[in-house]
Amino acid sequence: MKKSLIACLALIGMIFSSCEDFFYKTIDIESEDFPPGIALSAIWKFPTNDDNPLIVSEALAVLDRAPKLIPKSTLTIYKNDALAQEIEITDGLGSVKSFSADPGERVRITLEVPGYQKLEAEQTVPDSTRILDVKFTRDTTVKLFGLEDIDLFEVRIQDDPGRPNYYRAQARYIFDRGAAGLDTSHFIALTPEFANRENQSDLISDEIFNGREFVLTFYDFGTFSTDPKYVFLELIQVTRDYYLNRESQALSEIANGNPFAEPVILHQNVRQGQGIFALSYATEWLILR
Amino acid sequence: MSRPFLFLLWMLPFFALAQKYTIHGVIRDKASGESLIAAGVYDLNSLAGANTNSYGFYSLTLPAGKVRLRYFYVGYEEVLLEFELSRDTTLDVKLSAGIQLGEVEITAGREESIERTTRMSTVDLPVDQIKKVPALLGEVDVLKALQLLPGVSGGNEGTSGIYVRGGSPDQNLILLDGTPVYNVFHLGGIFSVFNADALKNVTLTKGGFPARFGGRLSSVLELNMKEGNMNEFKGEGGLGLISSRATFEGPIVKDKASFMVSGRRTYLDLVTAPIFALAQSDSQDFGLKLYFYDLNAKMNWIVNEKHRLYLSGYFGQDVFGADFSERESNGASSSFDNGLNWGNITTSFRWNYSISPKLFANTSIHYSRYQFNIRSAFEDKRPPDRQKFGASYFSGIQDYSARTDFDYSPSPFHAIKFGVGTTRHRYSPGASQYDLSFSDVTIDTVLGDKPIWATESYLYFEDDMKFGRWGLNAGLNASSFYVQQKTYPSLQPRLSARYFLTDKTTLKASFATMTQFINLLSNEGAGLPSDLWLPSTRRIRPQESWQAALGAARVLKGEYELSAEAYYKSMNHVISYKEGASFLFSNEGWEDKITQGRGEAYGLELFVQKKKGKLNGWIGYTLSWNYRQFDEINSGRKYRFRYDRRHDFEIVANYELTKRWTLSATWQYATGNAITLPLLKYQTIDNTGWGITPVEVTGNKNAATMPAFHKLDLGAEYKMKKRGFIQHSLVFSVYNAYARANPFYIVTDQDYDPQTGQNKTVFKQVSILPLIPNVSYQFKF
Repeated sequence: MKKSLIACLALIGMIFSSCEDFFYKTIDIESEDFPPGIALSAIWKFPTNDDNPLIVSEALAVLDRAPKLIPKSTLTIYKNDALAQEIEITDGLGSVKSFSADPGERVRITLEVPGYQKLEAEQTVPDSTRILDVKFTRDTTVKLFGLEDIDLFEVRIQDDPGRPNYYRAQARYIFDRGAAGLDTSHFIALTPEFANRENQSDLISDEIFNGREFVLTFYDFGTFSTDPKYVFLELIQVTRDYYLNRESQALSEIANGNPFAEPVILHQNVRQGQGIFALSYATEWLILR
Repeated sequence: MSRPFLFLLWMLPFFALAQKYTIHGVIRDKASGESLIAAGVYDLNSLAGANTNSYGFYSLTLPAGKVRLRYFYVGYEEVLLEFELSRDTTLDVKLSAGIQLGEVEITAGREESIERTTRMSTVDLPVDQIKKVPALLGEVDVLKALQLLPGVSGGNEGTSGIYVRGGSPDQNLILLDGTPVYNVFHLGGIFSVFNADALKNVTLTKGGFPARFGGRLSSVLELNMKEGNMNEFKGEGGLGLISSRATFEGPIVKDKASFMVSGRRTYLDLVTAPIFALAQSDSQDFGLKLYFYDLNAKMNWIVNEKHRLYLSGYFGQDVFGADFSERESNGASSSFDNGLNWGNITTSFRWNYSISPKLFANTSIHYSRYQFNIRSAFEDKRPPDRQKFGASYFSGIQDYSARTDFDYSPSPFHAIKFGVGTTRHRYSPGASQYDLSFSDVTIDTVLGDKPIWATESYLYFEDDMKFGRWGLNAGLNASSFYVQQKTYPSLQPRLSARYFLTDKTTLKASFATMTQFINLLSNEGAGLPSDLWLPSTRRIRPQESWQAALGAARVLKGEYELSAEAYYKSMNHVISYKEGASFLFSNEGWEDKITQGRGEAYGLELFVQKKKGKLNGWIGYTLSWNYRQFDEINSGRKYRFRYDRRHDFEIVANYELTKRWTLSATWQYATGNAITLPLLKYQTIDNTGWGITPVEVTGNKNAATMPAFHKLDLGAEYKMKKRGFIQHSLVFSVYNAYARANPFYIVTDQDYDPQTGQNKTVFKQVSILPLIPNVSYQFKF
């Protein structure tokens, strides 16, 4: 009896000791080669009177410390293979001034960081959009999220056939305050075909209207309800890389923490490094009030 | 060679039938009257032979004259009959189980040893052997036993899903008495729905599919329930730590009709009820629902020597949930009720008709239903106000089907099967119901997809031929799927061949094309039964595959069976959720969430098996590669399937120590699952276009590999001295005997780093099944 009791106690002890650090423990993971390096993020819009931003960051293993911005690097811009600009970037934050490109022009950038391989990326500037008509309504009968004074924009466009096109839209409000007031709030798509999209980014693909005339519907919250002098609509065509990167980032944010969501692979296009170089081209339509 | 000549060559054995007679009948177990599937009979004079079909029926045509027939079945005593064959003869034969359990074998084709059968990639797993494999918490599990075979992988640790030759679980056609079972799991996959006590045989086909099978790409798992003892009342059962089970069978009319009924229920909810009762107060109630049950039932009636009827059914349900309510002295109260439940119902009615000595027919009708439901409800009453929120999500599938199959045996050199069938499917792709009421607002609405009806029809023809050293099984399956005013036709040729190099060594080859009209959307991120069964539609094309295999089989010293098979499987239009898609509580149509792509799997399987003796078991090894490619996933690049396991190794051993003690052990090793984890991080531009935000980057999808999986399970059965008519026994088992922490899933977390004084990101492994001992009691009479 005594032996049985000791055996039982030993067994229980063995079971419990086997559970120590069992259920949740730190491990190493075997993965494909994915070395740390440099990440370049440059998402630019043409034509523009503003600077286009640029970020140069360390790309570190996810288990490493927080990545820092790179203190010194050199960005070189080529347009149609011809040198256009060379910019010294300090503290990882850059802005590209007075550089523009037209639809169809190829823009290639290289980034040199001491001690690392030269990063490269290339984009072709998207076409301008053929806006056929814009219907603007400041409609107080439309109720969305309990707000009134919704600005509705119904934009009739002719989509360029033969290739996929991607769009986003912005509104600019000019107020008569002596100086121009500016609002570049992003629109939310109301176009029925896109209303139930899962990703909810502000980008639209022409997948369902490729090559056709189509009416895109957007709204703005009417935050600037005081009478603007002018309202501009900017319809922006973006590159495929732009679209995929923004979409995957938006999806990633939505999926993060959702156990029922599939993992998302962030779209990148920078060679010999990480990151995204993406271009867009805006077509403006003036709406007189 | 011209086509007419080939046709004449094929017809030759039919013409040669002049002056021959046919012996036919049913081979049964003498004690129980159960028909024996795949039992053998052959004539010692001519060496011509035949095997019984799924209903125990055989037909053997021989020349007139003296015949010496040997009836045999593994684990049973042979019967030898000699007589003068002068007319067609009906001969029902009963075999006695005369060989000890220790000699029960697991073999590819019990009727023919592994080197003789034409079929390849097929495994029959005797239920007695399944019961001897050490089981988690003593719950004997058919699917987990199958995971121990080469070419078959399990999913996460402890779960019962099977992945056959790189396929996904939806690509397995699982038939219980011929009826498809859609969700085969209890407790989120920890246990399978099949109660081994109710089963008679288990057969898995991994490739080289005969033409009679269709509708899935990767495997066919046939499970047949016991028919019920025709001679006497019998019972068996057991009491375990988490469940109990009981099976009873017996004659309704001796030698004419019998029944079998088997039930199982877990009782964790009953065990924990007193604990919750203690925790409750006058103002608070708390309840936990956590159980599953199975009920199998079957009846059969031998109307006469030509007709036999079967009626069988399975009913199973999982219930998992918690509810809480609280009452305040001022009359206010609040409550919530969350839970999920899912379950299957299958029924089948079958009619055997022995039309002639050479022609046997089975006509059957089937019904199958799977339903899955998640609900969450909250209510707050503060008179006169009342707030209520309820949401539920449900999906399911129902099948109504009918089929007729014929077995025609014109000669010992041809075994022909042909048949026709149709199934009407009703898919409920998933809908969310919201029930809200607050202030003056009341909303009660259902959002989601409407049910989809579809009709699947098929006909098939196959001939199992034998020519000298050659054996050939050739057939064609023609099927169609009608859905949303669109028809998908499909012609699927099948071919298997074997050639005797020597008496003991055979070369085999097979080729099969398969089409699958049903899809399972299974979320890789969740461990819940979030499965959605969905049809091919106008937008979603049917899945297709072709598989080729080449192998060799050999018997050594009459005891060891060796087989090696190499296979390549190509799959097209396989489906997956798009990146970031989530199935739950979303109004978006399911077709928008999925994408179709390609897959390929190839590998090598080695299998060494010892069938007889006190020590028996097998060793299996699989070397495999498994990939998927979708335009909309992983930037269109090919990536590893989640269960791409380079190595998979299993040892199963049983040892009969004494007449009372039987010991068993299994050891498994497998490469870890492929997973998608963030590998790099950097700073980038945020959505405003000017701010900075950190972003994490994964490499290729499933680029990381979990730590390897391995574990040892031990078991022992002690048969107590028989008291009265009941045989009692105790079954001891230890799951994961050396307490290997196998990964269930991986997360990123923050750990304090004493060197830097700061937190750092780490990968954490979550494991769920440590060393788990178990003892259960069993009885049998």
